[in-house]
Amino acid sequence: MESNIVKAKVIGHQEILDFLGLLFYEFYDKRLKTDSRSFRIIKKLIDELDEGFYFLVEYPYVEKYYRDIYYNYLSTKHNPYSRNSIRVNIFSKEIDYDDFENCSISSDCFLGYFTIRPTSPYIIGHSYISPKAFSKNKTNNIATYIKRSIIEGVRLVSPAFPYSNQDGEFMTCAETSLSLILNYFGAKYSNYNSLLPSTILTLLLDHSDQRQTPSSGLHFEQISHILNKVGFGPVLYMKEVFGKEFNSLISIYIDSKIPIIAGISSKDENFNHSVVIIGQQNIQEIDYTNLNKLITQGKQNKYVFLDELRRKFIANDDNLPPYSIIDLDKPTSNYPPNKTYTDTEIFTFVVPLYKKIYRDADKAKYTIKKLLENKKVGYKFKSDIIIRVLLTSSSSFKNYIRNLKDFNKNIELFILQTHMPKFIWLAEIYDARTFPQNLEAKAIIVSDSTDPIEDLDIEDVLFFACYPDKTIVMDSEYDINFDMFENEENNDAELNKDDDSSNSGQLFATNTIKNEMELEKIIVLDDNFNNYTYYSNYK
Amino acid sequence: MKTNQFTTLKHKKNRTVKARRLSSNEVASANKQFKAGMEEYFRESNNKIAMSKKKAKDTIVK
Repeated sequence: MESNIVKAKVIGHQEILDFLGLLFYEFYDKRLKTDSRSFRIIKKLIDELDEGFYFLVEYPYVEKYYRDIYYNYLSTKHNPYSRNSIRVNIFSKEIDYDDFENCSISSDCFLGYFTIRPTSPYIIGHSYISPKAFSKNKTNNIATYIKRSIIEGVRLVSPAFPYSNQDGEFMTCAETSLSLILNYFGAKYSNYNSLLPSTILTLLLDHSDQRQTPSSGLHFEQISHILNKVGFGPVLYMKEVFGKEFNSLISIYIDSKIPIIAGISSKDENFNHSVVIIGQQNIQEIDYTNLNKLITQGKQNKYVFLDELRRKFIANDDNLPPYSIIDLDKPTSNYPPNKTYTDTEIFTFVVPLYKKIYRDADKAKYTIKKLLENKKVGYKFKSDIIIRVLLTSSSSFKNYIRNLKDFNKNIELFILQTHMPKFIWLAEIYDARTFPQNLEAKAIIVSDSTDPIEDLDIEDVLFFACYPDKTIVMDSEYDINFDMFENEENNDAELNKDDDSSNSGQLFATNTIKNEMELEKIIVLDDNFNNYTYYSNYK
Repeated sequence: MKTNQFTTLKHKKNRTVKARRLSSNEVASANKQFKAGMEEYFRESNNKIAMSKKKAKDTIVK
């Protein structure tokens, strides 16, 4: 029964389906009937893959998440279950088993894999399929990590975000979403660990009043509790509380490449589900026709935030194949026609923030708006503007600045020397008339993410702001070298011009250092900001 | 923090930048503008997060 590797070279979707049906019967003693839910699930996945792929099928395969479920739950049942999974590796070109024997296969044609387990009808186990395997994802931005796999002794790599069906007994959608998120962060960042399903349940023990298996689902407070326990600083948002800002907050976090767990509910309350939102539609594909209606008149500028424009997102929903494209206002539009699914909404989400990010997206966005509209440290743009707010790591941002071509060297030096926390809030300002055709930012504002206090001075929140013809920096003992101004002798009268002449600032030069303790920290540099293009964590 | 090496590195750049330090009055005016409404917004935002936490127990997803 438990034979060694089964290798198969299969061309076309129908053949792989037939072949998997045979394997399912042989190894799990169950037929994959064409009218069964199991068959429909696997057919839908294969149908969504691009055509012309080749598959290498392995059995037995030890899929650790399923094995954990088997030992902690399925093996305790009277009915027998196999402990083994089937692994289906996907290749974009024709392969031969000899390619593995000769080690002549490379990762270029490897598109990840999916696993099958005997938990009908939800038979797809933990899987790592590259977004490139789906034509729908050619331009979408999706959070992935490089999944390393050893197939027949050959190490192959492919980008992927984990995907799995729920088994419906040990893991419902809630535990599955948690598992996927933890798997992603654990594999990508050293700060976190991937957790096996049984470990997730153990962590919930002190937060559950009833038996945990079979699972009856989790509420979002429990999901947030697990994230908190494993080292994140999760924040929960409810749509009925945050109102129209709710979708914007999702957009900001996803633009920052932070996957979130979102809850979907139907108006008739028959359907309460969770999914992982992992990516977004490319900015070129956003509908900008309503842009003018969204523009707000501020104190200095007419502006709209990019996160307020309606766009589509990418989600791993265990009821659908990987990388489903969803609309936040119609999250189940890809579901089969059913009265329950016609009127649904995302009612909540939890974002697994790094635990030292204390200023969340809602407060950060407001802070950016206040800074930009400030008459002293803000800027009055000549045309309507689009403001993009996102969270990023200061090291990635500095690396980006370092690699910009023809970027102002003075500004670059200030940015690189500015001492910042691990994560920063970045705002990019674009000309609304030419965005997204022209992705050169008119300005950027970088602010702190680690202080949630409302009563802070500008110098405690703002790191720097670069505008078309001036840059605001904060004087600091460590960050800004006074020597950089040492040669400043040209006391250009223009620099002292101010709208209130009685308050004119001092020209900053070495001779002012003696009064350092009495000096204000905000410094305006007379430097042009240009050649900065759209920054993305997804690149 | 200012090690010799660090200072040397900076000295090598030796760049000249036209700059102006904001006066105390300017900074006070900027901060006044900046803080106007901030306390109310943050208080409301914190309340919303607390309310979200409370309501998160209402619905079980499965």
